[in-house]
Amino acid sequence: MSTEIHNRLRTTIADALNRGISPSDIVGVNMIEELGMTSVDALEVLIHVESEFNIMIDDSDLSQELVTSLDNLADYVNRKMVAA
Amino acid sequence: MAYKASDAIETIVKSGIASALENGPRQSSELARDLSLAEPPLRVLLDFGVRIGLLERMEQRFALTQTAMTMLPLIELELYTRSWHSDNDSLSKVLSDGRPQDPMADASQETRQLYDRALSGFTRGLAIAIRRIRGLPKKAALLDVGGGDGALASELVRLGVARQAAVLDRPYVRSHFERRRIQCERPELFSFVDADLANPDGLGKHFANADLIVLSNVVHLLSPPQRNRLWGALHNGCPPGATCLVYDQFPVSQDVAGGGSISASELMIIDWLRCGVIFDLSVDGQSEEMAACGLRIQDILHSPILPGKMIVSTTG
Repeated sequence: MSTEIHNRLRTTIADALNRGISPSDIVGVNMIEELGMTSVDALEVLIHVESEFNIMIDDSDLSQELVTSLDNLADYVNRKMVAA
Repeated sequence: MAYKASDAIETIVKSGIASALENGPRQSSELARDLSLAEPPLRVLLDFGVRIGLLERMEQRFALTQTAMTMLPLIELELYTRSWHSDNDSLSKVLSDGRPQDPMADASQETRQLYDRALSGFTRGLAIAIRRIRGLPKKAALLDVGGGDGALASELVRLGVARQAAVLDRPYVRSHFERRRIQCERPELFSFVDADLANPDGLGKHFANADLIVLSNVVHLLSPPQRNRLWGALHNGCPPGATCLVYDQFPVSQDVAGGGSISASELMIIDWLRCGVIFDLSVDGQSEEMAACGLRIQDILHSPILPGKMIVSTTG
């Protein structure tokens, strides 16, 4: 999995949450708990991901589940970019 | 039988189940252990939560649906208003003399804070849903019609949907708007227009500088003649190509008597009735009404994160 996508995601997530989190501090195994994300925070992260990677996340995928794991999110973004 | 669904929702919230599920899907055994609940009845309650659309099953785990996640901040307020209406016997009073019963009319400071928190959570979800609509004007000049204290307007500016925002509402709302405005990062981007949608004839001039007009949970408050005058004012007053978004809780259809599940929108109709409002227009009916007044209907959206529907229309 591309480290570049992971790093861009870390930066995007930190920017979206706007709580002074350093991107490099994000572990990414259980980000809901790690970053104290509410459901609406998760949605806001996802729309920032859409803008950053110029992808459209399907309505059916627009859930807190998608931002739980950095690996899963990076995999999803990668698939969307390949399909575009 | 909807009161049983209400009981189930109330129990799921008050027992801490909903809060636990906000952190991710859980098995019933995990919830029972962590919340000190008896698992067999918990399992029945969770299954019922799935049936009424509050929860979803993910193999052996239960999760809040996306709509439930977004609406969670509203549920606490909903529990308060339900209790207030029940104690006040609101439906009987409305039926006997038609007088609206408003639970917020003499609300305490604590209740008003509850209201603000609930609306704030919902507003973020709505702003996100609007941000995801394709083809909106870039960095729009926003007019939020009936936008109250400007919560939605400030979210839309913060998310980059709008570069500036005006909120149009009744004069007594201005002080609430000002309180919020001065807390914004750039208060100079926000302005307030005193107007009453119940008399929409003079509104056209306020639409001339806007290329994105939002009416969120407003049209259900207006009578058919008031709505028609509002659509006419929008059609004639907005620049050509302006986008008009109408979000509300529209009844699903007129033929639900034959069966099927009850939607959140239909339950909202009873809340409105308590407050003296009768609104039974479907989203298709609303679209036809707008089109008949010259607006071009581009899309009807049902975001998975919101209970209502959004009509996307343009002028000119």
